[in-house]
Amino acid sequence: MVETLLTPQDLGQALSMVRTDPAAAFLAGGTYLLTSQFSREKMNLISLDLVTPRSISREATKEGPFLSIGAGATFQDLLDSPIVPKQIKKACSSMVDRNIRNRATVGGNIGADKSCASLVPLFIALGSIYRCAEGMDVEAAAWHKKERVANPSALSAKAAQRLVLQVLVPLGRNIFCAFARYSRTGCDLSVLTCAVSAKKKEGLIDPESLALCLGGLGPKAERYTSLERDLAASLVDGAIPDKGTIEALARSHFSPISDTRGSAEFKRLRAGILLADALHSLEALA
Amino acid sequence: MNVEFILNGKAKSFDASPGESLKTLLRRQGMVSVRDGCDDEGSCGLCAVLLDGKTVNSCLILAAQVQGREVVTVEHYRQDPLIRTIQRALVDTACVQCGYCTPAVALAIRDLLGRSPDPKDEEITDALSGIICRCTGYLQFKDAVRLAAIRAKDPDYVLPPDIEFKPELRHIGKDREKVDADMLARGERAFVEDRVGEDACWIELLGSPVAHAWIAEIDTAAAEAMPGVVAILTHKNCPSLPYTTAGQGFPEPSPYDQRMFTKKVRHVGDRVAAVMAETKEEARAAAAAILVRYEVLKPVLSIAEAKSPSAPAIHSGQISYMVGSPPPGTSVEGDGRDDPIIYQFPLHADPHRNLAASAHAGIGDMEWGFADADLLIERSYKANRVQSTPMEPHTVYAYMDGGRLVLRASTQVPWHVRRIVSRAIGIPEHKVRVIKERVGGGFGAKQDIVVEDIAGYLAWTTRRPVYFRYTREQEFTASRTRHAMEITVRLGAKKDGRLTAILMKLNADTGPYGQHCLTVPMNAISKSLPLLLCDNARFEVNSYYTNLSPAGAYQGYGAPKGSFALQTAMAELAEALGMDQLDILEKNRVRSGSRIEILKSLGEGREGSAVTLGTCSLGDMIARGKEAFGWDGPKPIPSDSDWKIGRGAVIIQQGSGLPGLDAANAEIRLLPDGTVLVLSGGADLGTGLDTVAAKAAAETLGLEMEDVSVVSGDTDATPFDKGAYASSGTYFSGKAALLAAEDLKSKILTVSSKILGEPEEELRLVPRGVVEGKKGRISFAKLGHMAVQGEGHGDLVGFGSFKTDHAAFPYGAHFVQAAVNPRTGEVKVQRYHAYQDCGTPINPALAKGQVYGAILKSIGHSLYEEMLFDENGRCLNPRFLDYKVPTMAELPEDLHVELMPVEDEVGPYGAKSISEISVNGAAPAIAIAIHDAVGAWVREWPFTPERVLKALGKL
Repeated sequence: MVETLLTPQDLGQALSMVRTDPAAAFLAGGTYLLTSQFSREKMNLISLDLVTPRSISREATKEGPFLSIGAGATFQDLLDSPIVPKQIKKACSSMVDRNIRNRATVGGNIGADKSCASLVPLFIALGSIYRCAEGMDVEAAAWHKKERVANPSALSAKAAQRLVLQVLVPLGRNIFCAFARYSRTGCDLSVLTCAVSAKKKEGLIDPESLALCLGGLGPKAERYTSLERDLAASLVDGAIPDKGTIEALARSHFSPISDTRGSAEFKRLRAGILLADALHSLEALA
Repeated sequence: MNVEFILNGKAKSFDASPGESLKTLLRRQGMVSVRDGCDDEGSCGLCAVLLDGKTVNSCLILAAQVQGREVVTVEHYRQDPLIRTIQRALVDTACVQCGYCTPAVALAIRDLLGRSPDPKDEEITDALSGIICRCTGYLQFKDAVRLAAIRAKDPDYVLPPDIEFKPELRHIGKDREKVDADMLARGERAFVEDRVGEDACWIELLGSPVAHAWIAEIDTAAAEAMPGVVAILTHKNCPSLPYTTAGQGFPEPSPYDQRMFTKKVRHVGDRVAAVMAETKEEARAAAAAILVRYEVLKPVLSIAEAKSPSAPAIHSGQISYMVGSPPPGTSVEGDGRDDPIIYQFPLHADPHRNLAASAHAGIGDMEWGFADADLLIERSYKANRVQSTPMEPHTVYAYMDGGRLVLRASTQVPWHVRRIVSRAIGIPEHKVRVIKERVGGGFGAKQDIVVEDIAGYLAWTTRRPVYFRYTREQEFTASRTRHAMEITVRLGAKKDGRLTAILMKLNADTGPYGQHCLTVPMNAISKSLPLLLCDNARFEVNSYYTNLSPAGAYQGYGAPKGSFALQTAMAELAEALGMDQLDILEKNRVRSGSRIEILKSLGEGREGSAVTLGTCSLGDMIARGKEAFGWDGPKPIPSDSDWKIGRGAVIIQQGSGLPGLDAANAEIRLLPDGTVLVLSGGADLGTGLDTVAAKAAAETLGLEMEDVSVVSGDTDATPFDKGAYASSGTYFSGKAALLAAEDLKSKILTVSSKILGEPEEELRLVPRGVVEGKKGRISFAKLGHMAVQGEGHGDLVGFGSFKTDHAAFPYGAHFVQAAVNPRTGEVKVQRYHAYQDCGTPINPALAKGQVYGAILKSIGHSLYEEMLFDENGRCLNPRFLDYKVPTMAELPEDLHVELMPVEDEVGPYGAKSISEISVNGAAPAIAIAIHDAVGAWVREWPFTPERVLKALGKL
């Protein structure tokens, strides 16, 4: 239930409002905050509709070694962009419902910070930078490590500077990545998501660079650094081991819970397969 | 707050509360095309609008967020010719069934064609990805998009006719516009929600949080004092009259084990109290303020628990029978606390032991049959609860008019609603009028009376109009779902595959109440066993009460589960014998002239009788399917080695209404302008039944379709009809319309004979609406005009009444190719072919639409749809985000339907039913295909990846 709705005209006003009411949440596309699951909770919202695109970009542009994605960009904006790499588009496409993609924004996806958020695993695995309000740059993994706030009305309440305005995704011919998901049906929310990235040197994977992030196995998408180390150790001459080896290696690192979308045992097995498939489909982030 | 935006081309200014969604604001402005199927979850897409040209869900946008932007709804078609072109394309390609989703589909296509004038298949799927349609199966939407794309460039383009039947007839067997399609595509007022007056009160139902409990105390005092509250109903102040909610013919084969409210709750979501208040918000607030103390009992959450001698009794009141005696050894004395149960006649029940009904019967000598077999197999199958999820939930608008109660309902059974509501309220039947509005999907769930009794009683007692609409969650927890069943099949066969004995043991979970408790499980037998010829066959059906959500009617009415068990068992037998599964079916199936002895044991609430089949086209359908599907050809080799390909085929059947039990009536009146008005008792659920009636009239009377108006399903204005269930619509209601048309034709000829002075036998009707003799002619318009001018022969009205003892079975052969991934357990249905007999297809495109819809629903049931419950009986997935139904993304790459008619000797123009049969094929065919692909039998559906992996021994 929306208790109050503020409609700032620009970013300055929006930040000022959240400072005045730290319990307020920024409202982007609304595809998460406005769903009926929160309809009985009292929410104070600050709509960013009028702020975007004046102060929060909807564009994806190249900025030096980065792809810069405005937090106001919708998932469909990214899919329509000629410069967004296909792996990011694949992650966007995991939001299968076009009606939702037309509203859901990159910033909203980050702010919601759901376990199976479509873009977050890739942003984390790629070591992306979130450029936040008041000029702060925060690494994606660090941003998402912040304590999860159960009450959605407080999702953005920590501080005005947590408001993500822009995502900087590193680009480079030596950067390889892949995104994979499992869902029950073609138009389902993801049950499991997996993003992996690595750098290659002279055609071989740099073990130090291997990064993977999985969603659906815990309350939020997260890196599995110990698994990264195990996988790095299992590289044979800089090559990814076979899928069976990866699956066997991965399972013990995952501790999912059983729910309506699958038993813990199934999710553990399925996540291992997802990871193996992703690692075997690494492609240059072009 | 004030919001200004451009709505359908005009600058508008509105007042909106901070939390008001765009959807709510638009509906407040009369934009009724903006529908709601998911209670603002954003998962159904039916509230779609164009926001700056892009489709968005208006439930997930606050009105204030569209400040300064442009919003378009489907009502904009007058100013946007492309929207109108799309609406017509949807109509012309038979995409409009219930029509609840059609405006949203039209807008999604408008968005698509705006950016891609010649869209590819994958673009169409993407454009419509956010919209759930439970009727159509989505395939014909692709035709609509292509047609609209062509007409956008060439407005005069005429769609060439598709395959036609009955060349000697003008309308029957040809595609004609569904009579309500254009109105629904335009998004006009059609559904209950569109009729609700501004002064209507709202009902909020307080449901039980526990599965099994006595209501020890209930305190409504605080709630009653809250603003806007008009009345609060509980077991303390409502009529305590027993009834069943099953909308079946009286006397019903369902126990009277329900009351409006009782002091015992038997499932999570069961009725505790209903609050009537002036606004929705006030009703909700008051419901939350009701204090209830429960004396919680141990719930019964499975068939196994229900059968246990130590199981708690879900019903413990006195048991009595209107006719007949209780079965020997059963318990009938009540505990003095629970309410009595009344059976209209014995159903071999023992409710105090949780047995709601049972039936055990058969033919031949089972012992001999199994002894004579060279091979015996016994397999057990399990099929879980699924929800039909009509996109429009159960809803009713009740008000008083002239001292009578009027119920504007979304129902399949207007006359049963009238009878049951009058009984529940305790008023005479003539005091109730039921008007069936357009129904936004029924699928069987709206054969039950789940909202009309409460709304009716509150309107009757308060004399104020009231609106009651289930939430999506209540559709899962307190509507009606398909029974969970456990079926064990024992087969005996000779080495050549010939069956010597069939035993089917079926246990069903009817939930806490007994609506359809025997008839649904029996239909699992009666629509599967008669497909096979075997001298020794027996069934044992037991239906148990549990504390899970209430079960009831759902398209197929049990048949899909019987079909799954028996057809899969036959395939397992074929494997054991080393035979092709189609060969074993061929060896044992019914054929033209077969004597079906088992039907002696399968009467619908009365003694059955053996039937000698007329023409049966199963052989042709199997042969055609084998050839067109490429059954004997090599399987494709998947590009990804993780995937394996398998195939499965099944034969299926259904009925066409209930011979000897059902009845339908229709009237047709000649109007002063020479057109006719059909008054049909039939309840069109979006299946096209009104169109069937209109076609019968137009065909018989030499009229065009636009010369026929149809009013249906109004208990005051139209004659009695049993309602839309058991695949009876076309066969019974359509036949009644045909008989009425023939009666009117006869009267027209009689009157014309006198006017023209020519013998009747020399007169004939010629298009369009003319009686022609050898010497003269007279138009219908003249006849109709004379009737109202005092110079004619009074109103010319034809009447048709139809009942029959003839059983008309439609048959089908379904073929599936599935890809199975043994690493992940995932299954993809790649190809689905249905060869289907519906007798004469009255409207081929609409008939195929029924089949597409049934197939896609049954694919969903087979692969992922399943209601899940926790250890306390609480449904865990009562919403579309968690309970997955197929979207357009789930369409098989090759979905092919062929109608292969064999005319029925009684049905209208040789028609049989089509609406239910096609849900019976997917589960067994997919199970067989999975086995063919990876060698594992998955005997519990849905065949989720987990179950496939378990069958493979990987979990």
